[in-house]
Amino acid sequence: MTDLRDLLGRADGIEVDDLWPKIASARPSRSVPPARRRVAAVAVAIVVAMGGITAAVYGFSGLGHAPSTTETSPAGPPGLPWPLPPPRFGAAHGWYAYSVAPSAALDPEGWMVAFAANVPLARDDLYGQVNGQPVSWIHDGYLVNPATPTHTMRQLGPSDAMIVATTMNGFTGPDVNFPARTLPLRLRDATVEHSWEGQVAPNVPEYRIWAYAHGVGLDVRVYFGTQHPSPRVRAWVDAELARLVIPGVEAPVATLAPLLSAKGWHVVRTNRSTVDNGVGSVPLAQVWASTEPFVLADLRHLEEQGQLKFAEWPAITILHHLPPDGVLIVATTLTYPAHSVESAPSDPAFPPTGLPLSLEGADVQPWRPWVNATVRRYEIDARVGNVYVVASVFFATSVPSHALLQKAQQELDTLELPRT
Amino acid sequence: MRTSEGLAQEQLYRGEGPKLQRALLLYAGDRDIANDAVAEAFVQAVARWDGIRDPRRYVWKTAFRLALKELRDRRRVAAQVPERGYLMPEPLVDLVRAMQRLTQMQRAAVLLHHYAGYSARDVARMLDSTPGSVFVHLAQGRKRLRRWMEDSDD
Repeated sequence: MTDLRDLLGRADGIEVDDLWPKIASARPSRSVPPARRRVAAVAVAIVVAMGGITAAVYGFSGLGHAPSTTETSPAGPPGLPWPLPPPRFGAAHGWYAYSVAPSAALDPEGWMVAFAANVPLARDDLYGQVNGQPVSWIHDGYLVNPATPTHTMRQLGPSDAMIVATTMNGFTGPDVNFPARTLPLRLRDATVEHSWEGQVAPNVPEYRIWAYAHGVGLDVRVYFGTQHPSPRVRAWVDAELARLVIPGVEAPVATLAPLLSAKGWHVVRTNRSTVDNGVGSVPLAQVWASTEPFVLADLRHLEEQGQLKFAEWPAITILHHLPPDGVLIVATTLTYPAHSVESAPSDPAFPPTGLPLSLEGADVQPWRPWVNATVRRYEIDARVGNVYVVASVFFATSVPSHALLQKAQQELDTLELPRT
Repeated sequence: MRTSEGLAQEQLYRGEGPKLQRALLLYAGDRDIANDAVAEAFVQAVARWDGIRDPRRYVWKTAFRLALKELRDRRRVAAQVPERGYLMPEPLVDLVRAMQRLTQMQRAAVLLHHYAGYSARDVARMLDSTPGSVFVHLAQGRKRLRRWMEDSDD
């Protein structure tokens, strides 16, 4: 009888292609294995100051959201649209959260990543160069290369933690590696790897939770800055895991950003921005949609600061360069808990309305003429349920054409608000 | 000008790439999946070179996981015998057919252990499994292959 090793040795006779030229010339692609996919995503930590939101931010609490998409594929899990919108972490003080935006940067395979850390991302994990051009690894959709947040990992301290959550397609049900679980995921369900391939530092363990939940495969990884995280830090992580929201699954907490999703627009969004209202910081959620690519300088400000302060406007660069046929939409949502005192309808500046919001009747004003004298802001303040929304539509012309207004309205029609 | 790092990366490919391609061809039964997985694994290894302690093990593990993911995506776990005209002599086609009689985990375990030479412990780490499970997969895989070889000898 033929020996097994001899049998397999026959394989050495198989001729194979030389892949090295392809490897040497390739930049990292977006196809990454579930086990090692660390980070992808469009980063968004938005810093905006808009006078229109002043009245609404006092006492503001959280946000919720129920995303949807019109594209479907037979490869998607039964009953859910595919590709799915990305997972995301709800807003919470002390956490920086990033999520793939529903834009052209989406991974065509439908692998989406949400990222949360209680420390800011290291600069080298955010920015780099491709072919000599500066890029934002997260925003520009370079999902592999330095987007692996190794620099941030190396800097994790004993009280720090980072979570990377990936949703995956191609699952028809739970299996051995991805058992059925219900949300929220818990750290106690994790497989702990004190030493793991690619480990950036000996003090950084990897806690891995694989799960199949609600038709979606989940690969969640938690990294600490110590091999023995304290109960308090573990509790923080569990609380953040409880804020992980999977598309198609009812949000455990109402803390999600609004969504704009028309094709052909560049979209960034955040669940983790705060504004100092003079009493304390309160979380906001925002989505930006633009006909033009976002400018790195603006994104850098958004990603690194994550703080909203009045009288600041970080998107000056994009507004300064907005072409005559360009449009920028900024939608901010402020959600009060359903039964809170603040949820009682009282503010006449935010009349109850329904979706879609209409540009007709919007308050039109010049906006910071010293930045760009031609920019006009169409502002819509409304209240949908217990969600306050401020939608600002910017045109780089004082008299936008009917076609331009229509284009903006079409994008505005896709606005979805947090569901509470 | 090429760097020493670049040379080391190419040496890694020259040393491991072809064997890995063959192993994945046996594993996936599909040359495209094998080539794509190997190329992607090496691209990732190159991109993360400084952070990888054992590049050889990294590319083997990554490539197998990529291939597994691709198989899941394509929902074609069942055997796909490669076209014979593609540099694949008949005995090798038989070998691919034989491998497809195993489950995915059995195939992966057998190839990583008996073909690539990794220990059961290393295989367990690569497959996110336990050494005990790998031993079971190996035993079952060997049993099936032996049965196939006996049938072939007959």
